[in-house]
Amino acid sequence: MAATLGVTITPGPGRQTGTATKDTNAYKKRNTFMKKALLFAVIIAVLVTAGAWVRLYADKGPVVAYSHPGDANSWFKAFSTELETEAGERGYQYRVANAQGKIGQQIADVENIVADKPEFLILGPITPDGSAAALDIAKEAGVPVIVVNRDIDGVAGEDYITKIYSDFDWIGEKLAELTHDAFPAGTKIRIVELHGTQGSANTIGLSRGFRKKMEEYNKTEIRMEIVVSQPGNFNKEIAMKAMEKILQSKVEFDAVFCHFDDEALGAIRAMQDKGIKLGDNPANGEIIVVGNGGTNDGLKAIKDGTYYKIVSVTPYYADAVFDAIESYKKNEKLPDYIRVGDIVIDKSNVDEQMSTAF
Amino acid sequence: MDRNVNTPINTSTGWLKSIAWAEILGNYGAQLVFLTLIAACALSTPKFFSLGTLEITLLDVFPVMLVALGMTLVISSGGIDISVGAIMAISGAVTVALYTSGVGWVLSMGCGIGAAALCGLFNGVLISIFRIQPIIVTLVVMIAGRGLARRIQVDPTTSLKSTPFDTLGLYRIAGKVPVQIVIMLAVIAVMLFVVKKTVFAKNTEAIGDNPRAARLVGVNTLTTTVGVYVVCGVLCAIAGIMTIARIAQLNAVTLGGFIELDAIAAVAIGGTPFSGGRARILGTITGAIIVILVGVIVGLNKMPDDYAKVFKALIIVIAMWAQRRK
Repeated sequence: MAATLGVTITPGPGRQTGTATKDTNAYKKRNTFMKKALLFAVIIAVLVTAGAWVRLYADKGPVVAYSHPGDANSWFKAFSTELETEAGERGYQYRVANAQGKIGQQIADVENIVADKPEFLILGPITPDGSAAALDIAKEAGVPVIVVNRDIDGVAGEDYITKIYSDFDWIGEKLAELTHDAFPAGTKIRIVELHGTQGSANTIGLSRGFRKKMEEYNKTEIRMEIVVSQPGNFNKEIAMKAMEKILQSKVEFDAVFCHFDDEALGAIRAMQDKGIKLGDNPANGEIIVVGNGGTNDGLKAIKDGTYYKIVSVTPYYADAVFDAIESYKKNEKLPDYIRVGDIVIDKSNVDEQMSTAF
Repeated sequence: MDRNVNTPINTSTGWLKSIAWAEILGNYGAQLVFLTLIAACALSTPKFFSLGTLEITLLDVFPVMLVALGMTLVISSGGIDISVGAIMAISGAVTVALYTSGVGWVLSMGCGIGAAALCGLFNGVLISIFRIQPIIVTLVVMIAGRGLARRIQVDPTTSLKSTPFDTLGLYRIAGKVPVQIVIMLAVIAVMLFVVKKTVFAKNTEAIGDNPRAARLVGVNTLTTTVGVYVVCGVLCAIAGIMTIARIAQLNAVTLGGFIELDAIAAVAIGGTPFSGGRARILGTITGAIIVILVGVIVGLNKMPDDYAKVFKALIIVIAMWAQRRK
């Protein structure tokens, strides 16, 4: 083994076995001391945390708890911040548990939440089928549930009170319509789709809506066609890399349809790096980029003309959530689904919409 | 136990037999897999041989390459570092937090790299002084580091549009070569020099081979181990900062996500033994390119990314088989 390293071990004069043993003993002593110190520090930390936690839960007042699916983006930040503010204004205590995108974690979160018997559970499902188990847990514990953010498998009025979120099918259809209308009649529209995380309710809804509308337009004459569909996972980096590869594969396209602003921005950056013209006029060879969103950066891109049009997905519906809670308490009949109103954002209204950007 | 691969070959039994095929396969397995892959790509992908493809591949390979080079050093010391992705996120978050609070961009980057070096220092100290298993120490940093990065960032995503980072990320030297590729070549050159020529690398390999023997012949195991993890941390920082510059956005949750797996796969394909004692930089370079190339090919053929994962696994198995030692 020593030969491998090209060194030969010969006992040197400075290294005697006696000193080595002594060194080891001193090392062991120091090691035990450090171990004790570490253990002590850990115990202190646990006690302090537990104390703070107990204090937190000692507050009085009706509790609403939000099971956060855990997507780390500016949309969810805006949504949960507003939910918390609204809860405070209406005299509720607000609790939140973040599932970090893991269904198992969300089920565990909901188990913990219902153990504290909150007045309401606001559930942001991760996937329609996976998170449905959380509904059963809440039902068994007798905690009423309001579903927000996305769709879930279950029966309204039985498994949950109502569902409140944007209509992604409608958004998808609207985006197809915007794409279609950007091109002069009779021209072919070849579309690149950068879709969201596979299996998520928004990805499913947006794809379905867009394709449905596209087929309607294609009934008389085939004009719209999705030439490539790649995952962008709602993420700028992944979308940028995907677009770089699409550009390198020399696919010809006229429009880009993105499931979220961050994907559109990544695609725009990749195209700008290659000197491709972006804008609103396909006749000049400009690529049309449409997407679902409403982020700060998305609106800025609309302003500078690289991003054609956005259909918003507003995070500001905490008032609708609490309105539903209060109607339920008054035994009023609620619809199975409450649709959140979304709008088209383009150059004409981007300045006034800037304040709603998230 | 004899791991010596440089045993002279018996040349007296005819030239054909004198070519030790197992030896070649063992030493150049990664390169052989690489050539096979290139051939497969050329057949499957139209317009594969182009500067554009090369550029995309090298840009994609950049973060994995840097991290894998650091990882090679760590693995040759008998350790492993799974905190690399989290360290990337920390360095990115520190850089952006300082920049947005008004510090100059160069100084911010310096501090980001410094923060990563501190993480490396923490890893190294815990491993060499407290004798905790490297996988445990770096697992702790992986978990805590990601959380810390998220706390530092505060906002879920931070835009770097119209900042010096924005310009840096898309900067092309002489208007042609992306800056990332130049940095990558420079890092490769430095690492080749370090591993081939310096005592530091020899000490690292000695520790990986037999830590007790290394200590007995007078290798300072503390400074060497700490040094290895600090180098790895710094390389992660460069990868992290250049990645956020490239996309002009910081997302501490996804920055460097799962990069440890790609980096470890690159090292494995490159033939660095996981038992330590040997750093094969050229192998890692090939390994990193292979790992990324698979994804590029799948992307260029407009196939869903899921296939890339399966192909990657297949290639790891083939590379490990080619390099198996009897």
